[in-house]
Order: sequence, then C-alpha cells, then structure tokens
Amino acid sequence: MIGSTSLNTHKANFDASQKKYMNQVLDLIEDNKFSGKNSVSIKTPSGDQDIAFFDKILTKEKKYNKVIKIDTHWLRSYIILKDRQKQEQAEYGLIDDYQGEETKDEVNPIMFELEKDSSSLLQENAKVKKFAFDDDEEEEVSVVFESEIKQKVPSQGEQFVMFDNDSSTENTDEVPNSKLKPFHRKYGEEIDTEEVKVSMFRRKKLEELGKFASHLYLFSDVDTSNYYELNSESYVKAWSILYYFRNKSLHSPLYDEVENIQARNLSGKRISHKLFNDFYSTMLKVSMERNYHLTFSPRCQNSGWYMDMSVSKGNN
Amino acid sequence: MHKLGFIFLLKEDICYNLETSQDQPLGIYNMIMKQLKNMSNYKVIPVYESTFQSEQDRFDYVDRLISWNFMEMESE
Repeated sequence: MIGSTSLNTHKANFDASQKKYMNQVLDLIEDNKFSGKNSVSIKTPSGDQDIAFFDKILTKEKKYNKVIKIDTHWLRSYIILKDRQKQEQAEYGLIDDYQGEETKDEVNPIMFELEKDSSSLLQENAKVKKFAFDDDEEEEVSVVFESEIKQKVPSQGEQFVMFDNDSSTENTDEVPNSKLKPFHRKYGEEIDTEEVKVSMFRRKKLEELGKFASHLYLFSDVDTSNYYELNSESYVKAWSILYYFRNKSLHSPLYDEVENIQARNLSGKRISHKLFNDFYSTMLKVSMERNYHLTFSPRCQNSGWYMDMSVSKGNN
Repeated sequence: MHKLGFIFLLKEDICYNLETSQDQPLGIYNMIMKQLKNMSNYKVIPVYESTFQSEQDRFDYVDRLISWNFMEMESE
C-alpha cells in the first residue's frame, strides 16, 4: 500500500541507520545514476542490498507496435482541397500563375497506384521476379517496361543519362543500352515518391495530434484494452516515493508516464470492464432524462489528474 | 464549484477501513482523491464497484446520487 499516512508515519519511526539508508537511496535517484534496468548494491546494516530504479524509458528503446494506416479517401480529399486552395489563391492574385497541370501530374501517379487492381499488380510482380532470376526470358521484360523505356530513354545516338552528373557521361563514346536493367529499376523504387509522401503524411498527422496524443499513439501497450492496477505499477510506485519524500510532482520525469498510464487505464476500463460500461450507460440515461451535461474523462486543470466522468447542469 | 466529478473505483482499488468501518480508496487513488478535493473545481464523488453492483435499481441509485449532491452544492 502506498498511502500517504502510512509512508509518513514509517519515516517518522525510522532509526538513524534506516534514515541514512533512505537518504543514500534518494541521493542516488536524484543523481540519475540509474538507467532503469540496472540495479545498484548499497551497504546496509544487514548487508549489501540491490536496488532497482524505474526511470522513463527512452524513445529509442521503446517498441512501436502500432502502424498507422493510410486513409485513401482522406488522402484524395486532401490533395483535391490543396489543389482548390491554390486555384482560389490564384484567382485572388495571391499566386502569380496557377499551374493546374503540375498538380495533376503530382496527383496522378498516386491515384494510379491506389486504384490499380491487385491482379494486375501481381502479374507485374511475377514478371519482375522472372526478370530478376531468369536471364533467358528477355522478351517478356521488354513488354513490361516498354512504356517506361519510351518515356525515359532517348532516341538512338543520344546518351542515356541516369544521374545528373555530367562528368560520368561526357567522356564516354559508348552508345547506351536501350533496355532498363534490374538495378535501374531498383534505383527507381528506392526513391519512390509515394513512400516519401506517406512518411510526410505520417509526420504531419503526428504533429496535428499534439504531444499527449502522439505519446499515447506511439508508446507501448497502446493497443491493449487491459486494465492495470495503478498501485502495482512500478512507475507509479517510483513517482509516489519521489512525491512524498521530495515533493517532485510536476518536475519529475516520471510524472508524464504516470499520467499516461492513468489515461490508458481509463480507456481500457471503458472497453473491457462490463460493470463500468453499465455505470456509464446509466449515467447517460440519467443525464438525458434530467437534462444534465455529461463529459467522459475530463481532466482537472489544477492537479492534472483524470476523472472518469463529470456532470454539470444544463449547458454549463 | 458547479460540476460533479465521478471516479469509479474497482474492487482492487478499495480497502476496508476498520476504524471508520467504511470502504476507502487505496494507495495512489487515495492521494488522487485528496488532491482533487483540495485543488480542483469539481466536487469529486467516489463510486465503489461493490456498492454499485449490490444496487438493484441502478438508475435510481445514480439519479439520487447526482440530485442529492447537486442539492448539497446549492445549499452551500
């Protein structure tokens, strides 16, 4: 039990040696000599004792088990709205020239990739695989990349320039190959614009979520709907010890983690606990009948703790 | 204070106080309740799982709980 009264009374009843031991421990915690996983041995009257310290896990060490899915409808609407915004800006004279064709070119490759049938993609992949492993079947490959060759490769006599560096092709008199090779194809895939755009959208979404929400989305045990006991949670124990002995409520790095655990617990309780769902539904019924305003998981602005729900009269 | 805040405490978060012979929030929940009572603009009401489970007419229980607390707030 981590009760306020119990801990304080215990501290008052400590011996001189025990107080010394406690102060040693607290000094070690404050000096940040612990990494969160290692244990340090301390000399006590009874003998050496190992102490484990619970610190905030670094973002590098955390495991990300959630993958954000791309909403294609959202992506389309975003692109269309962006295009429309540019058009309007051009109408009002904010932009000199509206280049609609360029935006269309930007849109088309993505839309084409998204709207492709799975069967056609599979066929293409199969052909590419054949090209990669069988050197004899060159005819099929020429059919696959015919359209690309027409676009990218210039007519005979001109040099095929893959990179922007002119030095690589200036001094060579060799006629370039008219067929693309697998490493060319691989190079093209590596700088795929779609992947870049996906990463950009992901970053933008995370920025929109804000600090707290992104923390919840990214960090461990987010997808689970389990309910953890706060009293048995190691982070909560560590933070409460710091709070009682050093009054480190907001300045402690553990405070953020404890707050997040409480918020996760709330959502987990809402999903997994039957009786709490029953309580929530009865609260909704009562508030509907008596004209109360009910909010789920409000946060106290002064203390920062979350409550399960709050009720106010009317629209106040 | 114009708002009521509810905290639904599960069985594992409650302990029985022999001195007062009443249920009491355990550990960190006790601290959260104290801080909310002292600092927040809400009137915080703990709802224990055991008492809510034992109620036969839950609608009536919740209705009475809210209306009684609102009346108490208005009288203050």
